[in-house]
Formats: sequence, C-alpha cells, structure tokens
Amino acid sequence: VPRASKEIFNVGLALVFCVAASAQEPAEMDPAALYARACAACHGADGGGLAPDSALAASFDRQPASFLDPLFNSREPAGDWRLVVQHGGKRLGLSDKMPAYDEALSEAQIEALVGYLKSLPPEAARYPPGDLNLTRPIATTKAFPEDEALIINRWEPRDDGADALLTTLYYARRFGPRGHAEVKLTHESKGSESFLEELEVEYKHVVAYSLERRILHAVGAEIAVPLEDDDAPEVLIPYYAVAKVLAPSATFQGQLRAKLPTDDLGDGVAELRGVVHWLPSEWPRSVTPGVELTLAEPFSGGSGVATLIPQLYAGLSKGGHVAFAVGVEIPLTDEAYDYRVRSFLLWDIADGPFWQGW
Amino acid sequence: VLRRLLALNALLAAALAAGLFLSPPGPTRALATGSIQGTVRYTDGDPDRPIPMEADPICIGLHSGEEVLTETIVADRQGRLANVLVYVKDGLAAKPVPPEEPVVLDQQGCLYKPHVAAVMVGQRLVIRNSDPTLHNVHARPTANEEFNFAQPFQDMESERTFAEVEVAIPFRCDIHPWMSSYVAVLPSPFFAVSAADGSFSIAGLAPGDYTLEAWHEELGSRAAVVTVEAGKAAATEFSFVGD
Repeated sequence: VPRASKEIFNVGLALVFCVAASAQEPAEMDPAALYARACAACHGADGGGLAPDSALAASFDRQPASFLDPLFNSREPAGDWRLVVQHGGKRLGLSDKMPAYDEALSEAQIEALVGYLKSLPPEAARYPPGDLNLTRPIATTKAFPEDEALIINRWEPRDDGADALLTTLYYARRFGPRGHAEVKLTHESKGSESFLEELEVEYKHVVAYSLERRILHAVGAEIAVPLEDDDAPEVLIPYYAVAKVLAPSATFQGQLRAKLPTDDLGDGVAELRGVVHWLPSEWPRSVTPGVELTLAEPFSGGSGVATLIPQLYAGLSKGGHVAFAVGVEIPLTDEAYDYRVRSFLLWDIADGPFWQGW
Repeated sequence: VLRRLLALNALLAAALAAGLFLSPPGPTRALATGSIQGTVRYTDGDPDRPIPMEADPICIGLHSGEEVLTETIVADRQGRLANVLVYVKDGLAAKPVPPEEPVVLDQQGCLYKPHVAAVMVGQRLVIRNSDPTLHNVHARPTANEEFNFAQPFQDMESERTFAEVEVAIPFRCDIHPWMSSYVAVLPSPFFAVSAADGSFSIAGLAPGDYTLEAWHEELGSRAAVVTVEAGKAAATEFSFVGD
C-alpha cells in the first residue's frame, strides 16, 4: 500500500471516529449513549468490566466493577452509586482511579445513568434492590439479606453488682437472589460467672418487594440452642420482617415474631418491634439517629414487657462498610434493670476488606 | 477668556491622562527590566520510546497512525533539552501577585499539551479536553489536594487553583496510562519551560541576585545563582546527564 493512501485511510478513520463520537450534544444523550461515552472505556462496552488480558486491565490494581453481576449490582442503594459517580471512587473508599463526573454530567443525567447501570444484569429483577436495604437497628431484625459480620454487645448494670455482659459473634451470608442464613454465638458474663450462653441459627427469605412503593417483606425462622442451662429447651422463633422507606430521609422497619419453647409451645411469647430512622445525610460516613420500640406479650397472659431504645448508627469507613451503633434500652414496664446499653460493630464483608477505604 | 480656560483645562486633562497611562506604575516595575536567558543541555541517556496507543483506537486515529514518542526526555541532536522547568526559587524582593491570565493544560491527541506546565500559587489552571474521547484528569499532589475528574466530552474545560508551592504535581489519565504531565505550583510568575532547542527566558526581573532552579521530571534539579542588571539579559546554562 503506498504511504499516501495509507495516510488518507488513517485520516479518514480518524474522521469517522470523531464524527461518530461528537454526533450528539452531551445534553441530548440518552443513558446508553452517556454510558458508551463516559463509562465504557473502563467498565466495558456491555458493562461487564475489562477483558482480563487487555492492556488497560493490567494498569488497574483494583479492576473496574462489572455491572453485570446481579448481586453486586443490587446490594447497595442507587443513592450510594450516584455519590460515587458524582464525587469519584476515593471519596467513598473505592478506587482512586474512578473519576468524579459532577462537572461533566448534570444530577439528572447521573440519576438516569445509574438507573441504566442498575438495569444491566439480565436477571436484575430477581434481586431485591439496595434502596430497600435500610440502616441496621439495635433490636429489630433487618428484612434485607446481607453478607455481614458483627460483634454485638449488651451490657446490663445490676444493683447487686453482678453486671451482665452479653457478647454475640454474628456471621451472615446471602444465598441466591433472596436468601440469607446466619449464625450467632453468644457469650455471657455475669458477676463471677462466664459461659457460652446460646447458639442461634437462622434463615430468612425476601418474599416480596416493590421499589415503586418502597417496601420489602421477608419471613424467617431462628432456632436458639441453649449451651449453658441443660434444662432449658430449644426455642423456635418464626418471624415476619418489613422494611419501608417513609420519605427520602426517613425509614421504618418492623418485625413480628413468636418465641416458641420446643417443650411447651403454649409457654411462648409474642414480640413486636419497630424502629424509625432519620437519615440527615446522604453520605455513608455519617450519623443516623433512630428510635425503637419493643413489646413482648406472653401467650399465657402474664405481664408483658415494653422497652424504648433511642440509638445512633454511625458509618465509620468512607463507604460505610464498617459501622458502629449504640443504643440505650429503657424499660417502660417494671423490670429488674434500669437500663441496658446495647451496641454493635458491623462489617459488610461484600463491600471489601475491613481496613479498606478509611 | 472662557474658551481659553476650557482649552487649557482640556490640555491639562489630556496631559494628566497621558501621564497616568504612560508613566510606569511603580518603582519596582520601573526597574524590572532585567531578564535571564539560557539553554538547558543534556548528555547521554536513553532516547524516548514509542507509545503503544492500542487501548483507544480514537487516539491512534488522532495521530493518523503515525508513531508517537514519550515526552520524558526530549533532546535534539545538539544535546539541547526541552521540558525543563526553570524558575526563580529565591531572591525576589516583593511578594508577587498571581497573573490574571490562566495557564492552559490541554489534552490533545491523547497527550497533555504542554507536557510540563507551571502556575503561580492562586493562578488559574484551565484543563481542556480537545479530544473526541473520554479522559480523566488525575492529579496526585503531595502538598496540595488530590483530584480526579472526568472529561467525557470534546472541548470540555475545568478550572483549578493550587494553594501550596509544589514542584511538580504529576497529572495522569488512568484510561490512557501513557498520558503524563507535570504542573508545578510556584511562588512567583518568574518561570519558563525550556523549548525544543533547550532555550528559556525569564523577563521582568528587577536587578539583584537570584537563585534559579532547573527541574526535570526524571533527571532531577540543578541550581544556579544569577546576577541580573537593569535592562540587560543575564546568561546562564544548565546541564543534565543521563543514565
């Protein structure tokens, strides 16, 4: 091929690229066109990430996300993704190579783009959306399935000096689009005594959700096996849990459960719990206050228990994948304690190693 | 009489206006007629290598398929070195004001233009994308604040200023890993970047002794003390040696 014609060909090629790329004004681009222009270079033309053998992939120590993985794509709220697109990865503890788009795209364009990203996995609708994944409360069981590890504490001061401290190690992981299994091991120290108190195994399943109505329903069951007291029965705890977004900055979570001793079901207790959280900030590293009410009523008709738990939840890492919450449980009925201090340290395992993104 | 008085007034006003416009604005400026001129030289070392632009066919197209070389060491056959930042490090009597005019850092043909730039503390840096492809502008300073923003559209411009002196902030595009630029943040507007023939010139200096520094991204820095006299160009030369 003569050099001149090669040059003409190359110039022609460049022109074709330029014309193709600049045919549309940025403001007129639909989300798919915006994706092709602003994201595809790193996240792949189909949203599946970079080919592992590509030259660009070799330059990334943390690979750009694949949006085609439905679990990854669904687990966090769209709002968190908008923050990443707007402000870049570093501000949220992700890769510093993800740039900020707040100067390039309008808020409406970013919202439309995130909606497009969330629609990319072929089975997206089978996975409950992260927008219904609400702040973990102190007592009420979350309805949303999680991959998490927690250390949970309950400290109860007593007048006789035999303060009780319960420490629970908690591990949960997701199964399939909607399943969640967890195991909890609780240690108790009371005065001079110290023992492993209980082992609990639980499964829950999201039975229905509506992103339009901002509500998610789950049912689950837990078996609690006493480890210290040989005479105590195993307890079966079936439950229903609900998550509802009330307003952009307010959420409600509720749980109805029955504690059924396996040796005498009639000796059981019905429990109702509910919590309202106020979310003053869109940033994961922020403090979320909440107030929780718990009611317990024995089937036998004996005296019930009611408590109130004002609480604070704080995202610790930039992306909020490590968080701490503390609440004070105040009995509204006549109980043997004046108050209990309850807390947990949470690590969302799926969002990365514990020390990532601080 | 009245007409004469008016004519005299007009004459006085004109003289005053002319005086305002023509007279030098202050004693510092009046003396700041000296300059420094020189050349940066280079011996030995590796020549620059071709850039593989396969990651983005648009970038290849923008160079009509011609080979593009890295811009780390740009020296001609006479051993004259380009892209060396030369600036007044010490010796200024007064604290200068940042120039109104911004410095432009362009992304052109999937390369930064210029490869080495400098702004004064507080002076605007305009970052432009002249390419019809996505670039991200990732600055990794040590004294100033890090930033990384996307410019997906052709002719997009963004502006940044820097609060701290820093020689020099590396700029990279993570999508086109060969793209590299250095932006120095300096305490004064008295700087230059050596041209293709290694030459540089810093004008507007008042008489005095100045410490100059010449900085190269890979070859390090050299210092020199230069005496500037009013209305004259002081000559100096810097030499860098390759590996």
